[in-house]
Amino acid sequence: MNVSTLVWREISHRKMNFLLSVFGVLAAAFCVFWVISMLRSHDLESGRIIAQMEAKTSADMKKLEDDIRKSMKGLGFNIYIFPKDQDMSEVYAQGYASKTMPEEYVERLANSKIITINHLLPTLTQKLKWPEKQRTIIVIGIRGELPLAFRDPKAAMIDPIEPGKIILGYELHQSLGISAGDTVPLLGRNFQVAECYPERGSTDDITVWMNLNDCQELLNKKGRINAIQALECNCATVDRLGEIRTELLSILPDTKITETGSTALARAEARNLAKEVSRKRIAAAKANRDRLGEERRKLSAMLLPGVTLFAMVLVALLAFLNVRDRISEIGILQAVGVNRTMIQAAFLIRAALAGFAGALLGTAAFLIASSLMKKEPVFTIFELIRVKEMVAVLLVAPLLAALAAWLPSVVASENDPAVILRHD
Amino acid sequence: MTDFALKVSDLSKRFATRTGVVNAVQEVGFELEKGDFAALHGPSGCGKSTLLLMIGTLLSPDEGSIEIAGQLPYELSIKKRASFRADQVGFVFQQFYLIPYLNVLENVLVGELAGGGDTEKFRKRAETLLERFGLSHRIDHVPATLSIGEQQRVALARALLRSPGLLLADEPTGNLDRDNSEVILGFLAEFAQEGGAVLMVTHDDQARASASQSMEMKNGALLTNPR
Repeated sequence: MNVSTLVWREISHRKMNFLLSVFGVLAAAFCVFWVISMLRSHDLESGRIIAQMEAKTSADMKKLEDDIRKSMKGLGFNIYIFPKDQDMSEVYAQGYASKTMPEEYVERLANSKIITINHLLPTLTQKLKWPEKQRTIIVIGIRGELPLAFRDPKAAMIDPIEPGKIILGYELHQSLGISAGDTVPLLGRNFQVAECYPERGSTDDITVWMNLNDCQELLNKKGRINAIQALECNCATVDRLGEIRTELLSILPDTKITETGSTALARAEARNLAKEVSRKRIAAAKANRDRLGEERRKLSAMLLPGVTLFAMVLVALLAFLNVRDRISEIGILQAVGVNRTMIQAAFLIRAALAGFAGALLGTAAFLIASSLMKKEPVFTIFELIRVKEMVAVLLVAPLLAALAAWLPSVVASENDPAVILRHD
Repeated sequence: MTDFALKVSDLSKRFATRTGVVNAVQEVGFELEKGDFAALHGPSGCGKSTLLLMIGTLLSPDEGSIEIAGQLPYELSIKKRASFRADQVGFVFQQFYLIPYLNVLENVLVGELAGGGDTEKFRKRAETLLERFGLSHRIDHVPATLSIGEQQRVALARALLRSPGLLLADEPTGNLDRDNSEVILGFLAEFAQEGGAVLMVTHDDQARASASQSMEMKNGALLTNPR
């Protein structure tokens, strides 16, 4: 006869009490595994989603970059043709070229067999003081679009201005109280206002557009222009500016060519914008997942101690009931000389066995439940719960159950056998 | 030199109650030699069971001393006293106090949990006792399947497992019919004849008549002394 036989026989005899203890621990162990797996599943899922988003973004970015390159290659681009000796820093500083070139250049281009340009706009631009109105203005003489001799006619991108007429920018007509149809003097000559432009928020608002010939006469630059805009240029090769430059310079060797805005820059900007949008989308998704994870962690931080405490209280209460049921047994054991330590051990071993059985069944229940609940498991069970965590639960549960039964076991061992056995 | 199995000297025990202090046992003194079979009788509440439990080293006296087999058990630590009790004192109670989920053999072997001794020897001793008490065929049965007489015989076998020198019986025939009482009293007498000492608390005249000596208690005091 030993204490393990005593414990085993007692468990077999009072099954309900033991099974309730086991159930309490089982529920707690199941909850522990469920919480751990939920948190880990969330973390793994978050990692998977973010990785997928990053991979997709990377693929999308490559595709987007390629698409942009293709679409921009298909789109036309604009260039300016300036006199060869024009200092470009001056152009960037004041917005127009100070040097001029023969207007005949644009005729030459229009009559050439150039295939990389769709529209040609010769202009003469100059900033000057409007002596009659005491205003600084920009005068732009435009000729209208020149048709290319060897190309099908295209819809004009800009309409010509009739001789003797001008168009005024917003700031000028607003501040001077001029309306369309009015006649105004400019540099000693009267012009009829053909149109008043709405506000553009640029130097256009202080600009006066007029017929190129009128402009050349006013500025005393007969037959001269200071820029040709070549619009919607097309090239088949990647180095299209180089291609167009080669073609143009063969026709107009005394000019220089610059692109208005870089397609590479535009492409990079588009790519960066798309990348930034994706980055923000990923960051938002990650932040959302993190926030959700944190909420779950907070819930778990309350739930885990709660279920553990519940199981311990249940085990303790059942152990107290067990002590009460076995009071005469405790008395006779003391009477036959069984010491208090042995009596206490009998209750602690019983509780530890309930803890171990509960943890074992809780582990099994969790494994079965998780395999039944997931038809197509995203993660394997051993990704969600590590073996060492299962071992830890199997080790800790008996200890906690024994701890819960400590007080009842002390009460049992401290029972006064004289009180139990005396009956007179 | 007198071979005392039990020597009780000026033993007193008081209990504090709501209505005041109750003198459960007052200056009781007597001796039992090996082979003595003493009956202790008296009215209910006179302190018989309290005295028995003090002698059985389960209830510390307020005054006086108890000597069993030459030892003063209350001078021992709780743990050593438990071990001493296991080896020197056997108990038989009116209610038997058999453990319901252990079979007959296991109930007898419960004393083995006190430690010490050889498992195989205990088992042989238990089987011998059960055979002697006519319970060999009931060895695997649980108490609920036994008759009252059989249950008391199992309790007696349990008390004798470690071959104590002193057997304390508290109303051992209180729940038994005449025939079963005779059997139990016969075994108690045999134990005394074999060199043990028996102190039996009883109300039963038949039981008292079986004893070799008789003591009477009233209001916690011993009225008659066997010697």
